[in-house]
Amino acid sequence: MSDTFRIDSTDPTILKLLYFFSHLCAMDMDEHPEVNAQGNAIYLRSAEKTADKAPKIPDPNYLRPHRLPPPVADGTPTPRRSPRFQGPVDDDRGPDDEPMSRSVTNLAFLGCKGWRGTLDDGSTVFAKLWDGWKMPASYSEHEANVYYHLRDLWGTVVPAFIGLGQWGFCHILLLSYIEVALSFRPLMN
Amino acid sequence: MLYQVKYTPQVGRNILKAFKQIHARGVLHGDVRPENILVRPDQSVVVIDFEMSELMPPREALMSEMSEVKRLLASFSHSLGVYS
Repeated sequence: MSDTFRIDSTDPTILKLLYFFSHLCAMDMDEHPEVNAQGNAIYLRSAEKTADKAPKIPDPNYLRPHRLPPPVADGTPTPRRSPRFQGPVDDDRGPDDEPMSRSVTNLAFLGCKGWRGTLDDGSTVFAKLWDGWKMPASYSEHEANVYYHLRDLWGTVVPAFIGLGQWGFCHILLLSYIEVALSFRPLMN
Repeated sequence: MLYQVKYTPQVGRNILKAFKQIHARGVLHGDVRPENILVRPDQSVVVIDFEMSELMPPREALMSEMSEVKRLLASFSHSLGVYS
């Protein structure tokens, strides 16, 4: 069929070009390896036949952690420090029952999994990120459950819990940012 | 191990109080380290990083963790001679 193709065509279409290229291939059976800028042949190395670096599929048997009842307050009303809980509190609610969408920007790395960021309302938050390819959501959900369990201590001896969710490929836990005066840094022994 | 802290008895008391409050709600922190204890300018204390924590642990585990906190405080006082 390539014999019928006019090479000096001034109105090539994709189909005509495919015919033309197939004609060239039929005429030239020599190998044409990919070359670099110096004209040396380059070869793509085959991936190792292991799944070590492959993304891990989340465990299908993973069960979400059991949500515990809220702690019994010692006669004092629970302080409601988060805007999420300004209304009537439903004790059966958990940290992930109320969907919300917040934009976190200006992330600054603080070390380990910790980041400092700014929410779309201008408030500074502490963000803890887990690599979603390596770590199941159970890690962040467990920590969120614990913070939820300690909600009457938010803003006093534990940071206020703001939210839990996904940020790109990461699981993210948002907490109120704590201005620190002292940090316990190990000295050189 | 020595820690570079401006340590005062008030900070030590606040650390103990913070862990007592957390334990009273049935939470074992599980990773008591100086890096997980933040001190605000007013010397109040915030405990962070509950990734290793347990909900409703045995009472013995809570007592063991409190001993761990006291050992940590003792190491501060021993290294700096401030806390007693």
